[in-house]
Amino acid sequence: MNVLVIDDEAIARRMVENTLEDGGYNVITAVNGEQGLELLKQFECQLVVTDWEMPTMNGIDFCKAVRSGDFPHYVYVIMVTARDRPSDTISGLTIGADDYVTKPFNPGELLMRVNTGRRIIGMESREMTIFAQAKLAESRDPETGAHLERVRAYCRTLALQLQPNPAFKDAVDDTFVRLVYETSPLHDIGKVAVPDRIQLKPGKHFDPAIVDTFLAVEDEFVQIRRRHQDADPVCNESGSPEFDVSPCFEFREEAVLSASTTG
Amino acid sequence: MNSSSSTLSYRVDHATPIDTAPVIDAQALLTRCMGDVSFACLLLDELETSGLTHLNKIRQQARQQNATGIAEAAHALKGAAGIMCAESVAKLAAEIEQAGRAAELGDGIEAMIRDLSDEMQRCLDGLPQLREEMQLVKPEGRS
Repeated sequence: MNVLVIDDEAIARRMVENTLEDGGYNVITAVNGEQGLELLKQFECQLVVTDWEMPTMNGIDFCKAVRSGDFPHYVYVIMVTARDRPSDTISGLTIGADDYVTKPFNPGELLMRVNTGRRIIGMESREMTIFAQAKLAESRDPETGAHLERVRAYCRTLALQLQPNPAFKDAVDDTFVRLVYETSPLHDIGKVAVPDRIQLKPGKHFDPAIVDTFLAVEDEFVQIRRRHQDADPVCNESGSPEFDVSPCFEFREEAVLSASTTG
Repeated sequence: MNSSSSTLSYRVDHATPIDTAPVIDAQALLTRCMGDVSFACLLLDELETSGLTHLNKIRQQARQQNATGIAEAAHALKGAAGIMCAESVAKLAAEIEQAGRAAELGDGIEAMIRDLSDEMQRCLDGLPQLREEMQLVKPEGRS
């Protein structure tokens, strides 16, 4: 993962660079905020460690530019500075830095803070995308309430119950539990493709009459298949029987229309 | 941190008078460099050049009576000296930074700059010995 390190002071820059490279990061360096902004536009980089006091563009102005800029992802900014008054820390965090470390810093601590930033970015990207998609689907159905929140909580509880079971010991680890919690809200994502006239139809979606219609569709489908299986099938190149199913789909479409206009 | 670094004689001893104690706490520096002696020596090389540059900037800004410039240059040196575990240099630079921010440019600041120059010179004078002693240290898992 790339980390952009911005510091005009060579010793501090080298120290941060060395610490992060030791931690497995790919470090890009800049000597002021302006250069840092340019590099941020050129490279895929969501983590920045920046000094405060620098010529041309200081860390505060850099932070403002990042927050008001049009970047495809959230940029996590850690300010590392010799400004050590509490009011400086407050100013730095107020202006948009996500974390604040004073010089001289402990390398291990800085690495942990960068790792935390990485974790937060990862959570944000993955969870926000999944949950936003799921919420989009849910937003089309105003009657579900806190359904997604409940489903993911239930899924996690179930996964945690399965975890000690020897039959699931290889499959249900901590990552699985976390992933099932994060991704289970997607179970209703198919709603986005359901036409409004059906999704927003007042009352029950399937009254007995509509169920009968669908059973009839099913029956028609089975009959078509049977006719073609009984006959000598004409096979296509892959060996599958070729037969015309369009009457069946037309019948289904009719049933869907009927469901959307009745009830 | 490796145990072999404790064999270094070049380190701050609080019983030693301040003007004869080593300016750089070698053990603390090695710890900060995660036991990487070659990286620590690289930083010492950097200090040899950038330390003087920062000091010259402070002097230059003082000649121009530029309080903000003095504060900024002293701030940079304070940060660098702090990372290098040169506490006395960092402390003197911090005092000059504070005076610059308060725009106190009387005789006092000149005396402070003289003290800083002396301490910086003492720091640079001690670097060859510090490098030699650091080369003798072979931390576990690092060169």
